[in-house]
Amino acid sequence: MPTELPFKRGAIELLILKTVSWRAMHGYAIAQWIQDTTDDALRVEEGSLYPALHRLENKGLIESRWGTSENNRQAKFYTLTTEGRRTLRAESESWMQYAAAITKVITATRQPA
Amino acid sequence: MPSESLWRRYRRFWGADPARDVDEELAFHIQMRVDELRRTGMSESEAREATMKRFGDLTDVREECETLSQERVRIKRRADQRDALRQDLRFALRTFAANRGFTLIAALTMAIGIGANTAVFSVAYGVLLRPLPFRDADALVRLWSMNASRNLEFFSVSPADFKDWQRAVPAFSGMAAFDRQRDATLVRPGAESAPEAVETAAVMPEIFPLLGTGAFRGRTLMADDAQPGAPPAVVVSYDLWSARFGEDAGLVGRQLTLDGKPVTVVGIMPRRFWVPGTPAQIWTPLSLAGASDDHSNRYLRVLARFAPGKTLAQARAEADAISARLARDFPATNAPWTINMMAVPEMVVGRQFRRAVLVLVGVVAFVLLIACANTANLQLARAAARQREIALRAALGATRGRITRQLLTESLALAGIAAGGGLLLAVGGIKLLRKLGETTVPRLDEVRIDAPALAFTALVALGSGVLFGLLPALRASRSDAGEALKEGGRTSTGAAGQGVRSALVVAEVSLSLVLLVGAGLLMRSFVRLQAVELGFDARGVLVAPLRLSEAAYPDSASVSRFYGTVIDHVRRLPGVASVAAVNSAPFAGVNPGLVYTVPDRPTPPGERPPDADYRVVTPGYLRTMRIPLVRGRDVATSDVNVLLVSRQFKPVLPQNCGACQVFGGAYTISPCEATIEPASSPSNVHRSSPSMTTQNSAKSEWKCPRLFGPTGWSDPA
Repeated sequence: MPTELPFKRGAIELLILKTVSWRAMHGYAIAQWIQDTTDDALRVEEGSLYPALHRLENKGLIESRWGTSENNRQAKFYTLTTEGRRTLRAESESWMQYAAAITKVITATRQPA
Repeated sequence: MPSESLWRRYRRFWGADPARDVDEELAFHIQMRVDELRRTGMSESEAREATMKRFGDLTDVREECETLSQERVRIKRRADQRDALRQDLRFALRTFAANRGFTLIAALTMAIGIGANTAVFSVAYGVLLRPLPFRDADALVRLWSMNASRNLEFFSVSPADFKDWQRAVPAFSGMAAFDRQRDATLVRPGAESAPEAVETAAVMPEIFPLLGTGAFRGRTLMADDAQPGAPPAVVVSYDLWSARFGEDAGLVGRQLTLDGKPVTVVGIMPRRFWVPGTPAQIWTPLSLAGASDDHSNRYLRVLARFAPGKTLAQARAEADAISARLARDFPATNAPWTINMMAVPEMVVGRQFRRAVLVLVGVVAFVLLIACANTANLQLARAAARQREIALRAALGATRGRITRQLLTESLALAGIAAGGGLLLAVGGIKLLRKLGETTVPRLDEVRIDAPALAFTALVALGSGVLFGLLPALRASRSDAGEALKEGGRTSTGAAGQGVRSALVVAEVSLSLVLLVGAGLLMRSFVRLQAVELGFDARGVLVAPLRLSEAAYPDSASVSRFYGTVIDHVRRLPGVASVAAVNSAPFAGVNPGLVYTVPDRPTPPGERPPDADYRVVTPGYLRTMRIPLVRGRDVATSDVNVLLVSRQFKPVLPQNCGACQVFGGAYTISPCEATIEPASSPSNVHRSSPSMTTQNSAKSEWKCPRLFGPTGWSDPA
């Protein structure tokens, strides 16, 4: 049974940016890739995935285009914009710093004086 | 990326459909999930159920996505429009740069039209529209005594009449009187050596609540200030405070010397404040406590405010009732007198001037229309030359709307450039007007280029841009692309184009003709006005207004001595041919009048004795002003009770006055022939002259006979 970690709205946007930085992807593939990459640790909710995609598109961080999917269906593909790539870099940086800081605290071995 | 299918591209040709896109996107996701679950062995319905369960509330998601999509479409449309505008503007500027001659002429033409309109609008706004600095200024009225039989419409009011009026007109919530402004000498503390001339006006303290204007600093005058024995208090105008006292915050409470007497400044009035009817920089309290109860002693000016809901007609009816009663009670002084009233806004501007401004607005609107027609014509001519370019655009898929828009953008950009130039012209024009119209334009200090004027300029530029741009743009966009391209190098617009341009030329010529006729008439009146015989020759004459303080020169003898010395000194200056003094120079300030009687022709009972304009002069006045002496001699310093009369005075002299030497031109009448004697002593005339001077229009100056006579100098009030 996969662990379903709840995560913040900001986090899913960062994950989307990272995912579509590989190549143009439709929503389903984005959700699948995140789930596969985290070994099913993170399961992306459709209810938050699609609004997040549209929000990112409004902000101009990703852009969309209709195309044909691998099984020959019409699907909306998302790609990263230049602005999106810049944001991804900056956000990844601050996320890693944040995660490292949290890690330091929860793995601390020295008790408070 | 996988390619977009043809049918979708086709469908999206008519614009985005956010709702449908969202539905299809979500349907695709659901289908993919169902397919995946089916692969694990679930039945179709099980798979669909699991998928929907995992999806949660589909409606919510769909709604949120749709809202976001619609917002995106809006953003994109705005961005597209911005891009198109920027592109059009850039193209317009490039076109202007390539056609410098056209651009310069068109922009200059429009700049003149827009500039004239902006300048005149700021005058019209400043003079007619800008609110007066009083609370509810429309409820303010100015009151006068009126004597229709003597053609005195706007005569001053006697304190006795005023007191009776005050109680008798319930249509007014308040009524206050004030004195005519007069010159005074101001000495600032710490600057004893430099007295300055200022204008002061004695006003009843009630005038301030009546006008509804509070003090800017300190307080206004209060009823207590007008009590006998109260410490002398004054309020000063903002302009005086800023020009003479450097906006010194400590002025309130300080003592100044006004005409040699100490007064205390109790307040500073706000910028733009004045009492309608007396332009003054210092207001002193006026008390009617000791005023004469003679109803004929008319020297006050009166303002009133309507009680809420009362009208001019009601006030008139009540005023007529009280003047009828006064005429009954005091037939000797009030018999033919009634009350005249005029709303303050109307009084400040004047009907004539309002009409003049409106005519001017019409004239500059014509100028703008001519400029627009001219520019439209230029645009049409240019559009003919650009036909190939436009046809090419159309052939490449530009819609008619797009081409119209582009040409209109060009016109608006041109109007924008012209508006910039027009604004510069307007600023220059207003500066010129300030110099020329100082004495003829009311409220000129309120005329300036400010937010309303700028808004007006923008509106005019926009309107005229559309006006001169729309027709050429529509015509150009309608032209048949194929025909134009086929016609190749031909640059005529064809018969239809010629028709439009001819119509424009006709409109232009007729508008110009109207303006030319108007300008011609104006010029003729001006030339005639210039040719009016003044009766004196002002060439080479300098006028220096002088004023002596009553404290330093208390009597006629000391005043005479002073002027004698001044005249002596000035006469000795190199280049001075002659010098004289007069109590009031022609067209400069007040127009003193004098009531007189002719001894052997008593005034019939019930009739007023005649009056005449009247000047006090020193010997040499006639020579200085080059007034021809028709008969007799000039006055001499040694003369006592001698008069010079003008030609127009002849009819009032007795026919059979053998001793009277009645000539054409100016006359001398020696004392033994004392045909004419003042009804009151001259010094009285001067002291009460405020009451004599309200009728100082140019009209009365020309109608009334004039007298000159030396009487020894008294202070010209």
